[in-house]
Amino acid sequence: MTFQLVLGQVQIYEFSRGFREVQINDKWVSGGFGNAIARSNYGSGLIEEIPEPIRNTVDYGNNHENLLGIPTAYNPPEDGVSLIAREIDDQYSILAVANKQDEDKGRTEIVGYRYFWLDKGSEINSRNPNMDGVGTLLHWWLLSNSDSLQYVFDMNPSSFRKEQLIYDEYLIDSQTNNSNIRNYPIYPVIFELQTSELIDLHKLAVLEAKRLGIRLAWAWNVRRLEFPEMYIAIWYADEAAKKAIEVDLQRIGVNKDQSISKMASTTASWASQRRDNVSLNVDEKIVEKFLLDFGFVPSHENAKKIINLISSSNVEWDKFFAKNNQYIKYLETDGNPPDYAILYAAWEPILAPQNIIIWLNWLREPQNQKQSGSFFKTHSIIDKSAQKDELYKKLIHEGISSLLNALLSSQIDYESCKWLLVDKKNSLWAKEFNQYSYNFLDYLSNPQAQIRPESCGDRTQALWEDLNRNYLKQFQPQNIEASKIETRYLAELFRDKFKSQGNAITILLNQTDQKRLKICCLSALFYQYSEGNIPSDIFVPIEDNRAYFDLMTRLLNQNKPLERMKWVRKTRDISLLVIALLIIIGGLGAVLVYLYHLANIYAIHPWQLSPKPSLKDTITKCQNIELNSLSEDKKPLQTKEVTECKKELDTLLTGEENKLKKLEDNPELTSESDKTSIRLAGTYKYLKNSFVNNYLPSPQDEDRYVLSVLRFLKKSVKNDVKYDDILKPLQNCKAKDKLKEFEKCARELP
Amino acid sequence: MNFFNLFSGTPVNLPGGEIRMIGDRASGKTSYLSALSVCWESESYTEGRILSVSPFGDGAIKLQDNAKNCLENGIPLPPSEYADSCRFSLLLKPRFLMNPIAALFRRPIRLNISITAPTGELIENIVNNKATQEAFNDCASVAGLMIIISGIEQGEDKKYAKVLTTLQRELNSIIGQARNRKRLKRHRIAIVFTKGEQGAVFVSRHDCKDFSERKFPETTIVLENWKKSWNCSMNFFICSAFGMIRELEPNCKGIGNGRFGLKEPNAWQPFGLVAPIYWLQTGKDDRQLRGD
Repeated sequence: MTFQLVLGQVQIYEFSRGFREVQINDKWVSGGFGNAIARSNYGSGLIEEIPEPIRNTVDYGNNHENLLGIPTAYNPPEDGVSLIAREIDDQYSILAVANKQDEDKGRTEIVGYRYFWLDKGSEINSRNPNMDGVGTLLHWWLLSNSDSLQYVFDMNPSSFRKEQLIYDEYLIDSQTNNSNIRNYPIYPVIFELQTSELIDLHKLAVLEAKRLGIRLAWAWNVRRLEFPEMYIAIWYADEAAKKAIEVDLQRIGVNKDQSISKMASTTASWASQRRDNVSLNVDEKIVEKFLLDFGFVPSHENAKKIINLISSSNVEWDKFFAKNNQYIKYLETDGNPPDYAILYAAWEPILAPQNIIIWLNWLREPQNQKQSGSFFKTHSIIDKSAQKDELYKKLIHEGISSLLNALLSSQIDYESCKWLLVDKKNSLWAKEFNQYSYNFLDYLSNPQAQIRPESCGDRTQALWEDLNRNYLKQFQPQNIEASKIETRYLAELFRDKFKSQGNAITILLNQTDQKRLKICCLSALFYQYSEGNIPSDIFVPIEDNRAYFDLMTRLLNQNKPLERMKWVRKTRDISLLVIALLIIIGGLGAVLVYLYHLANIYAIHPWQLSPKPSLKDTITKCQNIELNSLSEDKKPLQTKEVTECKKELDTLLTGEENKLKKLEDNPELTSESDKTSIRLAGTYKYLKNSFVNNYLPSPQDEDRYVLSVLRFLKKSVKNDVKYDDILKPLQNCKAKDKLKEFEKCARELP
Repeated sequence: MNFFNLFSGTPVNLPGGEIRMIGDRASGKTSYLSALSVCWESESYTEGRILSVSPFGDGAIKLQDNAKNCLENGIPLPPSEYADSCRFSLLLKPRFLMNPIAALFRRPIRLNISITAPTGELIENIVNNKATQEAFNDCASVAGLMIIISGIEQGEDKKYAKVLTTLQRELNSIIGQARNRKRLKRHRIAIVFTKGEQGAVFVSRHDCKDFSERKFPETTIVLENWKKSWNCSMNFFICSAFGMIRELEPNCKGIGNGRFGLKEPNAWQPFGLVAPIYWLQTGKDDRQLRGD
């Protein structure tokens, strides 16, 4: 036998449930509930002095619930007691003695509690090795009440005397306890109330607790319990009590067949589906409350409460998003789920990263896509509340790893994955995908490094290791067919991400910063792995950065990265160059033609760019030279200068005559625009304005007379007529104020 | 059950919100919530307006389970040791005048509510100036207050007047301190008299305000001042968790010490349970839900 009673001092403490005690007809009854803890004999009697684990057991969470509680109305019978015991941890044990109380409003279902507890680590108790805490408390209580019930709750305040409870015997349990394998909730063993010695029932429960590897907790003579799933054994008071307890367990969702192995395998599942039936323990109920609170009031404060839980507790988050969860059910069955269901479910892909696939698949269904805005808005609130919390970030990265893993195993389609990680730039996962990629490449660069980013969780680590060890390191260029084709999706995903990062200027200038290069490098790696070569748009940035090129060679089992259809790019580049040159030449040509056109209009000729004297200037110049070289008898001398000027004038007149002849020779063949150009030219205008009468009826007449004047000039110059004699008859004709006279004058020119 | 077929379309969601239910010990808070959680099972309740009440979270499910047990077996509901905190989703048949679009398209309306009822000890604590700031802050955090008063309470008028004066002052200082006085105006305060199946209360069910003025004159004055001071909405209701048998006698039986249980579970017809909640959430006073 492992249990044994031995001599040794034991110190026991006590406290009671608080009430507002009132006396009615000499009887003390409740005038209302008081604090969860009152009448303590520990230390100076202040409640705050009681160790926190003890206080938390009877005053739990925001709603101050009692882990050892019996619901009101299910009180023990008159003059009877219910006993409820629990090993809180390795140090503290507690025994609750519950009995029936009355209250002033006529209600008689009140439960009074007197709690006894011990601290195995106290100065006195630490001298007793292997002490069975609950067994010792029970043994002491049974002996102390063997004659009459003394140590039970009494509403009369004076019944509490704050006495020291020192006992000189304790129970030991020599068999080692392995009570940390499993946690509550469990389906308890439900026993009929037996007449056996209570201490033997306790021993039975201890054996069962050891068998299951769970901390001891039992309840005796109870009709119902606040948390029936938190006990290893329950001795029920009557058949109705048994039924009530079983119904409660069923409602909570604790099943008899919940075996340890089954639970363990569910937890370890890599990409678990939503759980079917889940029961929450007391801690988890508080977590659920926070989630519900956020569902009703999506404030930053409520979000922070949940985010703080990520670091402070080891919660199995996917329990809160089980199939039978009412909020999740709404999403599955309701075409228009209420806001609070979405606010609640928005936490699922964050807190339970393995469920991101289920969530994303659901969201991508056509009838659910309208909800994506609400989800992303909620995520934005959560993200702001998280304020770069590292553990929160880690969960986001774990979600990305889940997605990539699902992509590799075809659990999700590429478009959905791209939608969340690339297209939806405001999604939490798209925002974090950059950092995730940088970390991934850093890891691949040095997989042996001891220090990992804090955002690297188990799932991420496992995926990266798998991709490095079982994929990239095994790369054989001659064996591309055998490599897993799914890695091509990774290549495309990183490529799409790479492209989405650049802005118009960087793309135009073909610039790639170091961070973008990392994403590009990852894409290149998986293209090379899955297809044996790399598209040019991914290859070129890598080729231009030797360090990444060498890194890829190293990662790909010493195989150099290859560009896909390099000749296409080269040909394309040359073609582009030729096209560009043609465009430039064509453009220049067009500009020149235009300029030529302009020049024609304004009588500017490209070959006349050097200042060329006009007919008027030349005539004036020659006239002046002639005047300067007159002999004493006023006769012109044929000096060299005079001769040269005449020659120049003759050339000029010949050229102008050739141009103006177009107006006369082939009037049909000369277009109107050319005629206009000639008419607008300086020579024509000079001759017309200076020597042609203004009354001429048509442009054709003007053309004719201008040409006549020009020929007269040419003939006169050739015949060495003095300039004054040339110009005078022309000016005389011009002076004729009637058309006929002008025509006559012009015809009679010498 | 016909209504399920008629109104089987996607529900129209009305804005959800939080309510604090404040009332003395044994004033009927838990009975109210329990009856509310199962009222739709009452065959003729408000002429089939309530299509369903779905509980959310542990608190609401427990409450609903207890309600079924107590009502079916005719046993009284026990006192609450902890605050009742529950969330329900109510599916209602729309009325054309109040919800024309939903009625036209035969879509039910969904009302999502979160009600927390601190234990009656809060009233005692306010009377004795022992209420914690935390308790007042909690009440100040919501815009919907439901003051529960037992309709058969005798000689408690002064006490309620004092409690409500203190409550208003404290809430005023909290919300006013936050320089958010506009919020005061947004408040809705529902005064709900319970135990409406009892004769004197039952006969006044169509004129709740008058009942309040007659039975709780000082309290009513305090409430009126509160309403004026905050410029907020206030409304009076009468409800019963047990209802009447054929409008002749209360459907409850005395089981000693002034306690009651349901007398004829099969004839259970509670009334006035959804009306105050509907008003608190929507601002619309639905006479049919009152049971008029």
